[in-house]
Formats: sequence, structure tokens, C-alpha cells
Amino acid sequence: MHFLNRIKKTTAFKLFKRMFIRENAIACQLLGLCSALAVSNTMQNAITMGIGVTIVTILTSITISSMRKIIPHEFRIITYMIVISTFVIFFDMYLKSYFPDISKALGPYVGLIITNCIIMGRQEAFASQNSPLISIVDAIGNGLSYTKVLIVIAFFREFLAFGTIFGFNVVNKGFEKCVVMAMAPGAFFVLAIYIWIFKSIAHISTEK
Amino acid sequence: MLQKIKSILFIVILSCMSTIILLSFDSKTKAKIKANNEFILKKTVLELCDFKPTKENYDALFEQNIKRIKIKDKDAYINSNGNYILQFDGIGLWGKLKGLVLLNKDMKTIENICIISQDETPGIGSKIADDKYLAKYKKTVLEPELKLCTRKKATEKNEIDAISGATFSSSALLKTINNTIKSVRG
Repeated sequence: MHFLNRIKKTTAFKLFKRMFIRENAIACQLLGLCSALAVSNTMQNAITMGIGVTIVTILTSITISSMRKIIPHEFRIITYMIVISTFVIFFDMYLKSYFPDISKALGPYVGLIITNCIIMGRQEAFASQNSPLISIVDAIGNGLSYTKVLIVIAFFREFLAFGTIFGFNVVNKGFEKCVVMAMAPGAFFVLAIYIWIFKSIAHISTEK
Repeated sequence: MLQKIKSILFIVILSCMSTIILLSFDSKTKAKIKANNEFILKKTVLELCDFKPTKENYDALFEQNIKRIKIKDKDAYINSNGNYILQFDGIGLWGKLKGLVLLNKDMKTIENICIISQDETPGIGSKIADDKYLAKYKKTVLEPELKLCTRKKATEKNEIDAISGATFSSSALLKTINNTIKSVRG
């Protein structure tokens, strides 16, 4: 117990907690919404995409943070782009060779990880100014908070649109499937409700 | 001036390193990705002919039973019964429609159909890829061609029921199959 309390007091853990819960990438910073809408239709896709974004963010943060002293200031965005693209293409090729079914399910959205504002945002706001070790914590916190939101949205969308949870059928024949949840409008509804609930809870807790 | 040169040099070196890393990884995985695509195609062709391929025996099964041929300059396959397997490519409501059709040697009767990829409305148009719907195509005859039935139930040998609420998708599939088979019949 004492060891756990000591961990909780460290800067790293406080940072992780802040990124994972309070300054949630999607609900608070409102970043990475496009891919969140597209890929959250089933839980399998959500988890794969979440893991992809987390891994790419961690690797990019380590790279950028190690190079932060030599990146020329006026070319820093280009640098982030090159590094992020390299890791995403790497991830895409890896999926295509070893997990072709998942690659087919995610389709073009793996390439869209490059455009995910969360990764670029974390490089600019954190990794380019802090040491590699703490940048890893920041990357993990943001990546996992993105994954968390994706999983919650995917849970509701998959259940309402297909009647399944993670591919397992959990409803009987009488269940009226809501097909719009599988498409973009459904994603908008669920995401908006999620952000609304998140902000309400945040508002109530700061009022205390 | 020197500062600008240093900055540009940095970007050039970074891009070169990134390219080298990706090219080397690509050469390592290229063979595996090609093998994956081959596997999916061969597996689909075999399953269309009612075989049950597994990861171990699909290649042997394919070599024994399927032969690649060209009909009027189009790639096709012929199985040990003499039936043809054609690939059809068309356009559905939202995107491309791709599949395989098992055609009798008389080039008029459809034995089996499967869909490789489709982009129709999930839950409604996507039902054209369901085995239950595709079973309607079995043993239909193109005399002179397939017809879609929207207002009445299909009775003749060349008639297919449409899916309620997915007339466009059902019709797109039917037209694609008609055109593909007619193009090889000549």
C-alpha cells in the first residue's frame, strides 16, 4: 500500500491521470474526432485503432523528444509529419502481413492515423519540450484516453446496430436493430452525448 | 544562411532515413502480403466450388482442382467438373461490388455466387452478400438474361427477388452478373 501511494504522488502518475481522465483527448480537447466517428462501429475495430494510435504516439513521442534539441524550429511540423507517417506506414504494413482480416476491416482508416490531430498535438505541446521518459507517460495517457472513448462509443453503436458485443450475439430475434447507429449519423449522436455527459460531470466536479 | 542550410539538411537526412527504414521493411513484408492476397483469392474460389480449404491444404487443393484460363482475354478459372469461375466487378449504391460466379459449362446456368467485397448500406443493402440471399441465384438460368422481381415473387428460372428497401443494391448485383456472363458468352 505504501508503495502504491508513493507511485500516486509521482509527477508521472499525476500527468497520466490528468491526460487519461481530465484532459481527455476527444471529449475535452476535441481532437481526433474524424477517426473516432469512422472506426467506432464495432468494438474490435475500436480496440485495434486505439492500440494503433497509442503505439504510434508512444514511438513518435520517444523519437521527437530525443531529437528535440536539434529539430529546426521553422521545420518542426514537417518533422513531426515525417516521423508520424513513417510509424503509421510501418503499422499498416505490419497489419497487412500478419493480421490481414483486421487490416481489411479497418481499411483506409489505418492510414488516417497520420491525420489524427492528437498525435501532432502531443508532439507540439509536450514531446518537443520534455524529456523522453515523461513524454512516454504523456503519450500513453493520451493514447489510452482516446482508446477508452472509442471503446465506449463502439459498445453502444455495435449493440444498437448489430445486437452484438465484440462479435457475440446477445439479443434475441425480437430486438429491433437500429441501423443508423452503424453509419456516420449514429456516430455523431453517441459522440455528442458522450461529450455532453463528460462536460457535465467535469462542470459539477469543478463547482464543488 | 548557414542556419537555413543546416535546417534543410536536417529535413533531407530525416526523410532519407525514413525512406530507407520503410523500404527495408517493405521488402521484408512484400512477399507475405502477396501470399495473403493469393490465399484469400484461392480460398474464395475453392469455397465457391464447395471445397473446404484450410491454411495447410488450400494450395494443394487449388493445384489439383482449379486451372487458370482466359476467356475472351478475361482471367477466369475452370474446375475439375468443367464449370467456369468468373470474377465480376461492378458498382453498387455506394461503392465497388466484387465477387465470383460459378457458371455451368453451358455458360447459361449459375451454380453458385459469392461476394468478395461490397460497400452497400449496412443492414439493408449489405444483405446482398448474405448466403441466404445469394442462394436465390443458385440454379438460375440466363435465358436470355436474369430479371429482378420487385412487385411479384420470382417464379421463372431467370427471375430473382429483390430485397425490400434495397432495390438499387439488388439490381446493381443482378446487372453486374448479367453483363459479366454476357461478355464471356459473346
